[in-house]
Amino acid sequence: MRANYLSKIAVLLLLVNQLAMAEKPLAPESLDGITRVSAEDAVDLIVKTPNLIIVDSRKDIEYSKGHIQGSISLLDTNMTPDMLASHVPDKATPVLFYCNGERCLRSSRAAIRALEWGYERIYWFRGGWSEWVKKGMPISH
Amino acid sequence: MKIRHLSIKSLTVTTLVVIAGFSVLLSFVSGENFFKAAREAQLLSLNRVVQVATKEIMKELHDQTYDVATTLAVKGAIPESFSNELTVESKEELSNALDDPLITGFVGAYIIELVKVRAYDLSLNLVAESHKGINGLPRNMPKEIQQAAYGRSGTERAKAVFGLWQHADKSYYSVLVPLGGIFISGYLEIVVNPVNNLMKLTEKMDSPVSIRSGINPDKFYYSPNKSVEKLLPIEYSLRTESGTPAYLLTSYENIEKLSEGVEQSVFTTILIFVVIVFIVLVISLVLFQRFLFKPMDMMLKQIKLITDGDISRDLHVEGVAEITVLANEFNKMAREVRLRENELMRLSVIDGLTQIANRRKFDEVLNREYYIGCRTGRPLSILMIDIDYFKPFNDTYGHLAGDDCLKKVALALEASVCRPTDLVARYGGEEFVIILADTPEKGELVVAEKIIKQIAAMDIPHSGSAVSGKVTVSIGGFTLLPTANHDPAYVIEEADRLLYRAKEAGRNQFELRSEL
Repeated sequence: MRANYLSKIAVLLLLVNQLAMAEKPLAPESLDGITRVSAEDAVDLIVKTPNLIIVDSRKDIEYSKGHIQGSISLLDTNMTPDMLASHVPDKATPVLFYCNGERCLRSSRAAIRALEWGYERIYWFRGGWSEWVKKGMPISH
Repeated sequence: MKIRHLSIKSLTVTTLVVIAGFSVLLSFVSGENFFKAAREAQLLSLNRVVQVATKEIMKELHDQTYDVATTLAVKGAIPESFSNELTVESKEELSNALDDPLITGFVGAYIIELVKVRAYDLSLNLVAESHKGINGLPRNMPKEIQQAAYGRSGTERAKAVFGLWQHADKSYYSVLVPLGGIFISGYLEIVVNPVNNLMKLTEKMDSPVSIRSGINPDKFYYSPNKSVEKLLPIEYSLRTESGTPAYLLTSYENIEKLSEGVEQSVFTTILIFVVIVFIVLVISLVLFQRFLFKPMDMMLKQIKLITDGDISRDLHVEGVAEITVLANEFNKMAREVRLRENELMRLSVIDGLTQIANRRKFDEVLNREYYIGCRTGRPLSILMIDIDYFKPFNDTYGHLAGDDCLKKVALALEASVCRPTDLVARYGGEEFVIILADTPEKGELVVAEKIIKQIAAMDIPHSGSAVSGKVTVSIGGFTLLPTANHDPAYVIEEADRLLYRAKEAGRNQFELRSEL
């Protein structure tokens, strides 16, 4: 009877734990048709690709506290085909998406959507802002 | 002191008291050691706290400085006026731009103490520095920063470099970020003095703090605002990237206050232990007293009484198993001694062959009865009996038959008397004697006749007898009123003489005389 009671508590705790985890799920490891890059790759890409458009999928307030140099602020949920097209008229133009980090799903969603809309060269910086700051990369205000 | 002078009680009590004493002493020593260990652990953890608090402060300092550096490096006057090929005028313009944060201030700048802002080209050579801030810093990049920044290539060059470094006896903190951000055109170094930030340690530690130079420990950047004489210094050395001490941070802790709890718990533990030891000691002594010392004492007293003469007593002791076993075994032994004593007593008064009283018993009883007679004035009779021709009987039938004859005669004599006070004894050889206490000549005569009849009735053949073909006896009987004029020996002499007369008269008869 007591063991049964304890096992119920254990199951409950497990569920609560899973719910807590479910609040902030990990972003996928990779996205089909999209190139995943690290902070260093991103810097290299920015330097070597003059026509690269960097899309910051975070909220405006986060963007205003600091962002990757040259990026535009475009929250994933606000991003429409027209809005993206106004920044990136040519579907062959390379686009780099990033957000807060591996527990943020905004950039992956935005990148997938861009792929669906026909953009051909999509880069995704999965580590996002947390990796950028951790590695001491230049910040733009 | 000799071991025989030691009693079990004194030995046990002394041992118990010594053990208890040592236990208490040991508890004090353990308590002291525990206290020391606890204090050391506390000091270690306090040291760790100072270290963690300092690192936290340095992290805040870094974040703030980094924030300032990135704000200045990508946009605004500094990157705009910077280029690798600058004229003297444009260098001046750049220096003025570098002065700007030191003059006007900016968001977050109040948290850090900016002391210099410098710009370097891509080869890490100084291009310009702010006029403002402190003077006298070396005109090249600090080696601690240079070591980390030099020789990097590709995207690595975009990463910020930072660390503590020293000049003269002072330490500074620098953050180096690329000018122009990702599109690196040079480097911007923000130099700050961490002392003001480190002062926050006082708030974090909630105790007085001092900050000294790591190079010159006598130099105080910050001293505690109250006396720290009775406080214990917990020191942490904040080091530069190259490992030399930059700052000595000391937090002064009231270790007495911190140790109070430990002291209290050590004291309580020792107190409880001492009380337990005392209780155990008392219980042990009570148990020992009840089940060992007291029974042992009783046993010894009883044994003394028994060995002093009262062998008929038994030991009655209740105690531990060994005491009970000892008492039971002693009782067994005492019983055995009693039995043997009785047997010895019996053997000492009994004639071994005939199992009637021996000469010794006879002498004793005669003596007693004679003097009883003296006192009471009652008559005493004595019969002396001798087997006729006993030597020829032995010669004819052998000594075994002789012995058998003696036994039979003894039985016949015993059968001739009936009162408990009458005593039949073997006087020696083939002579027997009968004491008839409180008996006049008349009674004596009855017994003498009975004897002659009893012997005749036994019908023991005796071919060597000149009287008849059977064993016969001669009897001398004497009766007197014991007086102080005579003694027991006189009675025997008279009886013996009468026996002789009976033998003279032809044997198988008695000769009686009375002096009543």
